[in-house]
Amino acid sequence: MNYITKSLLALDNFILNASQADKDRIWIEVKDMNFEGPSITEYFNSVLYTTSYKFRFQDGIEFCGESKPPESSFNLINAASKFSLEPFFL
Amino acid sequence: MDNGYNYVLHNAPFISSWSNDEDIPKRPNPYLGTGYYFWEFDVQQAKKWGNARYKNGYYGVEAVIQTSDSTFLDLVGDKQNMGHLLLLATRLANAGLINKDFKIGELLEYLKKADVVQPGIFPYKIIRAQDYRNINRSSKLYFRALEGFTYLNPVHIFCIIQPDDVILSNKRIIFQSLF
Repeated sequence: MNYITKSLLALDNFILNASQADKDRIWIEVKDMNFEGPSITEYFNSVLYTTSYKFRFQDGIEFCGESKPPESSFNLINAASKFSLEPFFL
Repeated sequence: MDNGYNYVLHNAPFISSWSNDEDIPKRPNPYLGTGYYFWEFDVQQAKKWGNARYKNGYYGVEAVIQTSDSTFLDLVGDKQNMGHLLLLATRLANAGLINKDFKIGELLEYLKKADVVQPGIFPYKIIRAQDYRNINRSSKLYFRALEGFTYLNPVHIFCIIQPDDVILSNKRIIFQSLF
């Protein structure tokens, strides 16, 4: 698979996830791209196993996961931990 | 001394940052999003830009940019790359994730962040685009009388998203303005 095909497939997955908005989920808003504060991973470890979750970047990018996130979700969390995250509930 | 010859030579290029915060008065957003910008073989454009933007003087820095197929989004010479970006934009717009009237910088910034969430969406580290604004008659060569032409003095912009020693080498200062 070449990188363009891979890119388009990844985008389709991204769009699919972004469309799975659920108001019962926890939302996390990314506010500051230069976040270097305490690890957000501990916070996620406490909430991820009890509920589903959703991230929302400041400019509208969204992604979400289930109550038992697969390993890839932790990778997302590690990526997201580079940013400032603030939970809020809808 | 900061901003002196040696400082610039050692630290160049300098980042141009994108901001989504329209409330903060600042310089306009860079054309291709956050990155390190060069003109391709175009000292004239570099001087024009420097004169317009840096009233207290500036240096012009030259470097060799090393590209590779999978990380170079070439919107000048690669029709496959152009089609790829259009497809990404169309799908995002159809899904309602970006506005239909987006600017290219907004699109690229969105794709970079989407790539953090879903790796592989935007694998690029270098972008090249053409600015079609200024086309002068003397550089147009017609195929037939007034029937389409090719253009021999285009303005090409390079945006390096994340430079390293492989992508960027042989830096040197090639001119400086009056300080």
